[in-house]
Amino acid sequence: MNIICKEINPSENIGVITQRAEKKLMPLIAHLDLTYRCNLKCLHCYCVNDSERAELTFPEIKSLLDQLAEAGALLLTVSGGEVFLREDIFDILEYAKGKLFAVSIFTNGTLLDEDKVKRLAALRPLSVELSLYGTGEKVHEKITGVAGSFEKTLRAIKLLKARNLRTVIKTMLMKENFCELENIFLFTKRENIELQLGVEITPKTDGSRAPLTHELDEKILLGYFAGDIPSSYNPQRELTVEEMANKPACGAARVTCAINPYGDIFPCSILTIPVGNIRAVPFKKIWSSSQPLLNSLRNIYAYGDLPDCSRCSLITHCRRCHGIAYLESGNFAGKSESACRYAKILKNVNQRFLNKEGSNGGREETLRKTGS
Amino acid sequence: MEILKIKPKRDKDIAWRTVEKEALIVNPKDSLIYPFNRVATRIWELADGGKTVAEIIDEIKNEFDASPETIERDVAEFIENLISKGLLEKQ
Ligand code: SF4
Ligand code: SF4
Repeated sequence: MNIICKEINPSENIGVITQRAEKKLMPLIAHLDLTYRCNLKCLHCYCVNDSERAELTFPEIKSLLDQLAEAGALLLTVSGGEVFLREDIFDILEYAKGKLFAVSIFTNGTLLDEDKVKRLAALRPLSVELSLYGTGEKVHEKITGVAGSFEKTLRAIKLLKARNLRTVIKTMLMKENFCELENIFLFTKRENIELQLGVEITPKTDGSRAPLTHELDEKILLGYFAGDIPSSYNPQRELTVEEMANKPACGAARVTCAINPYGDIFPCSILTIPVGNIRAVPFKKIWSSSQPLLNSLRNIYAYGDLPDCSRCSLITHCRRCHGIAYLESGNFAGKSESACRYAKILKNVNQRFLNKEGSNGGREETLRKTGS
Repeated sequence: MEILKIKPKRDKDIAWRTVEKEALIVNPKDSLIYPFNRVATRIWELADGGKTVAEIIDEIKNEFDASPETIERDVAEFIENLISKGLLEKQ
């Protein structure tokens, strides 16, 4: 008798699971934005709050979660805006737990106090992920635009850690806070907190490119990826032509779906072309419909299926995202100018690593040692 | 065997979903994911804290085609494994 019990670490091997989900058309990974209201004013934020439209009510969210569960969604991210601005947030989280979702919560943490964190701990979310832009108020608040936000976020991080919740610090690196990178790195090492660094800033959901003015310039990015500064780059073997064509494309509409606070359904949280609204049509009907957008996305399995990319020599290093490509050019299956830029930089960095000139006189090593 | 008498129960913090009789299980304590096949899924569904391992084995014998000895051994082993991973509790 063949009883399988082999655990999979999703950060290493999510492919095994997503392939299975894909066959069954399960939106395994669902991203639910509960509100676009926020108590901070981050410089690079991509959310556009539409005050004309009513946010989904708790009964509507319950019905949505029922439908998502039925369709096979399991990993649920609740995000925003700031989710703790919703008065019914704990009702929603409790309902999601009752529906057996593995829930990740994205928050700025400023509204979390001892009592709320205690309630969160009882719900055992998969993770609580907070944005932190620096290790002092000056830089952090230059980005959040709100005085006092640093102390509050820091307090939340400490409370979450004290309750043993998986806490992840997410730092978007941009012109304004690049100087804080080492400090953040050391802080998270010292406190033993997971750190996720990002450099890829997205245009706003309405297409505005304003956030991109904060993006780091190429020279700094090169240094960042090359490990002049602590980062997590691992050198890679160049893929063969065949491997490049078979490199999996992203999972938008294949294993992911997203819902905004007004009930619009999207292929994923970045590719925000609506495929229907939950207030008008049941989720399953939308998801299993053969509308052209869903069909085209579901036919893009690999880079070889992308006409503008299939012959590109940078595929090994490319991290293109259909959603960003769409925001940049209006064509989700086309080249993504930012992905091309990053891929060039990464190829360059990779070459340096492979030629063993990659590292930088031990500075990174020293930092890692100091940190651990 | 001691194991036959216990009533395994799914840990209340485990997230899971069954689609077409195959379950995916997520343990939020270590963030690991387990894709179960049909037999594993059926055992998981039966582990509601109300049935003993012996009763679960009987159920599996009714539903699946394999020799009784194999089922007894494999089901008990599987349940012990899940208990050790913190996915099931002993009752
Ligand atoms: S479109 Fe972008 S954000 Fe969406 S799933 Fe693909 S890579 Fe991820
Ligand atoms: S997005 Fe650019 S770098 Fe990536 S595969 Fe397409 S053309 Fe190449």
